[in-house]
Amino acid sequence: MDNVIMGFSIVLQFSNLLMIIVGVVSGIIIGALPGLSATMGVVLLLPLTFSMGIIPSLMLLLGVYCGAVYGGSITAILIRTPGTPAAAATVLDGYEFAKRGEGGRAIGVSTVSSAIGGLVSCVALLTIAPILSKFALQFSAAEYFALAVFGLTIIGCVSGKSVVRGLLAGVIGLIVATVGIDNTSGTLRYTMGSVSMLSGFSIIPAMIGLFALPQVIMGLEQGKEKERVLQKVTRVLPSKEDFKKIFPLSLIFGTVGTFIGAVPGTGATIASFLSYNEARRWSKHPEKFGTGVVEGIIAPESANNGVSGGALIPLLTLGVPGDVTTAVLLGAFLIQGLQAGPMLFTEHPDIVYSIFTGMFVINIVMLVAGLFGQKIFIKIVSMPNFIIVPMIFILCVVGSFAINNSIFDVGVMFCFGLFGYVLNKLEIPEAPVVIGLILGPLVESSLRRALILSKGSMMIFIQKPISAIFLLLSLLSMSWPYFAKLYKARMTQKQ
Amino acid sequence: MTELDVPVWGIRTGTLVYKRLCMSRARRIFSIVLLIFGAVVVISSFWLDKSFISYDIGPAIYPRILGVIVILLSVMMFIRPAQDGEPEKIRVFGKKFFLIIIPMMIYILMLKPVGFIVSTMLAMILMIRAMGEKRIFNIVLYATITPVVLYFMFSFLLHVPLPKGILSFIA
Repeated sequence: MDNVIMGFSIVLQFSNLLMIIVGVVSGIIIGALPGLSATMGVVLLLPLTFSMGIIPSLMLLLGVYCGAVYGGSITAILIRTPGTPAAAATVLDGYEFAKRGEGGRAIGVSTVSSAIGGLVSCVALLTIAPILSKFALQFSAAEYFALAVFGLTIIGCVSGKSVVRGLLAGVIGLIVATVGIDNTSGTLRYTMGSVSMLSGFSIIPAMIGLFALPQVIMGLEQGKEKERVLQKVTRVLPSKEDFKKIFPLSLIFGTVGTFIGAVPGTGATIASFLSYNEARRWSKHPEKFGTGVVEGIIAPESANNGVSGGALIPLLTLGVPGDVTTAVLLGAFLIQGLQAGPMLFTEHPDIVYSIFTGMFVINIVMLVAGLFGQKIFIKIVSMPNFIIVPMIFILCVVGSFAINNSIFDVGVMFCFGLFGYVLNKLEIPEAPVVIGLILGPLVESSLRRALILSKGSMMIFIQKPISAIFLLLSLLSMSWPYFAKLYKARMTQKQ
Repeated sequence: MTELDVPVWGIRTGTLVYKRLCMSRARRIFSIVLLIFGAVVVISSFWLDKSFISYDIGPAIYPRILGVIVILLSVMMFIRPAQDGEPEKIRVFGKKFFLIIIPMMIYILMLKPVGFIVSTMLAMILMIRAMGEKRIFNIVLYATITPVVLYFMFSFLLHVPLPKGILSFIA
């Protein structure tokens, strides 16, 4: 409890509160703009936070994260284009409201359920994370190896259409992460004699390149787009009847989202689609889904914001990101020289508890901004593409330059961007590459430390129950699509 | 090359069936590139030193394992059968691709000698034009505001001096 009060006293300081507001507002705008995802928003703003302390920097980035996940629903509802992939499920019912001229009502429902989903996940984060961190202190190298492998395989399996391509992307990330000085033995690997490569590729330029540059190139290829005409929104505050539906449902699906977020590798997109389907399955009127019912907005929106707090649980307690956006947040820790993981709770309780309480404040700010700032957001989102695309490119360049004041890093960003462009066109997901890059050092060092401990015996990964479970789960997730196919084939044969 | 068939374990029949190979040439070329990449990683790992820590697998084994996995997965990607509804052809590089990335490269190389403000103005003009905006006023307005605002924001608020280049006379 003392820690919570301490957290609030830090978060409510003027500079931190300002960062939260700036973060949430820019997050909502970034999320609402089609083509800019939450991950991209965090990646692009990350370089701006170098000179700040860790707490204001995290407040800004977490604000962007939560704001963007919510903001995606605005354009999903008003123009049928999800601002972020996580809002794609909201389109199904949300746009029907806009067609009827009830866009404001839909946005109101989405705002309140997003905030409730977010708050539910905050409570879960606050209660589960400290317990899990004590548990995680007992983790040895073998468990960390298994957990990192699990996170990588899950993201490889769920983020694309094909498991092979997803895993391939993840392994490429792991290989790229081996460039530079080997931490255990001090040997140089794959540096090709270049001094700039001694410490490996800088992660931030690589992430900026992979996530943002392909969008810029494709935007430029596409050229002029139709102007976005957004419906005028009047009353946003939900009515009493709507509130009655929002409360129970968003509590349920906020919890669902939290748990999905807490599984390393999964994320807001999966959570929102799964929740939409579950809400339809459990509804008394499943046939009405898709014609504009509030449940069809509440379920995906509370779930995708529930993911935010959930995804922070493995990040803070284990140092393994829960989804792609938190993987980028891990980058913010690394830049500040901090190691996320169980030690953070004992060494920097101030940071941990400011994150917990900051998440509460962020969701409240999001609620207020969503209910009363809609006119401004809609105006900004109507901004034409010819400004947005070039500006993102310049931000990519400046951001990757700013980390080490080096043009080399801009080159790194550019190369990864071209690579990301090719991956995009071949439908190979880029998220596993980033997770591989970030988890690479952890995977290797924990593998090697575990083997040193076991005197070279691979059995250590099976003898330790937790590591055995995680490795088994990763095997299952890899073979899952095959079983699913088998099951489908059986079912059709029976009929 | 397109008429290749691959043997697949048929789930329904429980025997080997022959299916048409994935048609996309782009994907096949990419899998060959990855195969070569994996091979290079594996082969070059033999030049890496051995570790002096007892029982440590050393800096070479881990990338070697990864390289082998890449080789296996790229073979799997290569021999993957075509799936229903999959586009026959994937065009990786659009018509304008090189027209876009070459100016980008020139811009990045210009940054240091010419300076951030001037080169960004030029880049912005080109990009806004490429996005189909024709009004000169808009082009000039956004092409001036963006670099100037970013320059001062990074230099004074965030203490990251951006390259001054030919405008080095300003403080």
